[in-house]
Amino acid sequence: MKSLRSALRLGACSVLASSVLLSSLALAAAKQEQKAATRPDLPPLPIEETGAIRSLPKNMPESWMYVDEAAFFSMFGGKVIVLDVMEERPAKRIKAIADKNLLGNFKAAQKRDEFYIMESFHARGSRGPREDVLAIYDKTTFKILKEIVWKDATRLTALPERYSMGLSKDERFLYVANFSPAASFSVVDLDKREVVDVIGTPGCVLTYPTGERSVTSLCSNGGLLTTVLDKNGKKSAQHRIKPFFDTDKTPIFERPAIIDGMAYFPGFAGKMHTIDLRGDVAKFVETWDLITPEERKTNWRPGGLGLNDKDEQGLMYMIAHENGADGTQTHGGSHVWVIDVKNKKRLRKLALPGWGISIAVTRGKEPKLVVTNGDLNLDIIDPKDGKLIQTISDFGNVTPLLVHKAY
Amino acid sequence: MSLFDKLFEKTARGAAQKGSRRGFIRGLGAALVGAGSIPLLPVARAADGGQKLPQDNRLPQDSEAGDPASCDYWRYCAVDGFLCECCGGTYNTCPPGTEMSPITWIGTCRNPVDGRNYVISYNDCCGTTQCGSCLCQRDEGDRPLYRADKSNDVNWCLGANSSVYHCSTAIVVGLAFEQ
Repeated sequence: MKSLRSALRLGACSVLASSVLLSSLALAAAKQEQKAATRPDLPPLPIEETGAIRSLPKNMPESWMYVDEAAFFSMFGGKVIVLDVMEERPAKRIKAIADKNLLGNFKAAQKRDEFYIMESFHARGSRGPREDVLAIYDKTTFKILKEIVWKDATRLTALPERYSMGLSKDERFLYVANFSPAASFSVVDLDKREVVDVIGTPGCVLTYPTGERSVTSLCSNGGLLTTVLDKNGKKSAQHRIKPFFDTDKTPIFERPAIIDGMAYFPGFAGKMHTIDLRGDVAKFVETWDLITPEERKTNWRPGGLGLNDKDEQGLMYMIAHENGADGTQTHGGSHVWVIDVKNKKRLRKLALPGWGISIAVTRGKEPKLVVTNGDLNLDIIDPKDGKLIQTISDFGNVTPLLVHKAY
Repeated sequence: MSLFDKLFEKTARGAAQKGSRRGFIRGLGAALVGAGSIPLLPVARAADGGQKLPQDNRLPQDSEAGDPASCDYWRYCAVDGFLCECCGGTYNTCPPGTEMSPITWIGTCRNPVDGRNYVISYNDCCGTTQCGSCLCQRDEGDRPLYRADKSNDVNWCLGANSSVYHCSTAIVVGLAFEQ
């Protein structure tokens, strides 16, 4: 009882002390306010207009990137964020944001002032009929120029891929992967803004642009399928290219770096597979080793989600890890390999400041690496020396699984 | 520590304790090329191809060991997603209010108790937004999208009325062929 009384006394003292402190703070704030308000000599603020909305430049700076925020923790929270990865002021990094629902797919055009988001909606949130919609955005205003509703809700819903959509060389046609799980792709005429064909690709997925008017897909038998289109974007012919890897024993990543029309597909165990996509029909060229015999002893291998990208000088950058095993292929790595694919030579091995899951490279002659790290923030790194320039967090990111160049 | 860090830690522990993969479903996916527009039904084919077992949805039996709420649990060798065991369901049942996708991807996991390899069907539970608990990524035997039957990167709720993914189960659907 005595102790209770003491406690009450103590409590009363605390309340009193708190009241005194609060009163003092309030007094100080009021005084400061009084001081700040004592400039009647200044002219009044000009009247501002309401309703002003900013837009982005037609040519985006080299350090601006599109971040595909997949929102793996909420099917409704996906978005694409334009981010200046070299901006030092956190408040000025975000330039614009577009929604991307239900694991939507994203593609940016280079010549057209547009980007594309293929997404899905149920009529009532998580229920009701599903509608698949291609949203064609104006990249400067972020306004939707046109929505094209898919006849059947079949578009591919998966973790982000660079080639879930592809553009023809002249950017007249957009190719959009479907998977229901029957595989096909839709051809969208971007001038007419309409779907001109839906082409079945049995057992083969994704859309790697090939030649002027062809699309190559990767097949379950370890081969390729090239679909050749006519000038109106309709199917003209299909060609199967015989298997060049074993999908069970020597699988490859479906994520190539395509440099000057040559696609470089890394294998899980470190072999590179070169495919020529310059002609009307894809051609397998060769397989070569990325890993030295010494590295093979400790199981160095590529790994990650968006595990590679290229710079504008033609170099490939790829995340790699030691002690690789079955199952580690998507888990990322501790290093980035800089690869001169034309000469089949690895130029440098960069140790990352932390763990890397995905990588992208900025445009220009002085490219910088944008690495989605183990904390799901972005590490910006100078590839010349591997030095960390800055880590970017708090930009509305939860799972920024893939980053793209902005044009 | 971020969820992905936890995830990788779990993956490393899982890899340390996993046994060698001695069995697999022979030829699965080999028939995909030329299959026309016939939808791929990996689970149905897995059940046909493997030796069928009596259906039994009881909680872990004497012939199994481990914690189904842990990413290390043997059935989760190829999983990538939220474990239904932590979301109001179990390792082989969906939580209330959700719907089980009839088509999905499969893995081949070794049961450490009997030493056999089993075909595991990772049917997604769909119709409510992500559970958000017990994220687990093991990916053993996982393949990219070109081997859809073994790919966990696809949102397999595509086979359900709602494409909204909630969590993943791990259901024994057959014995794997021995190599």
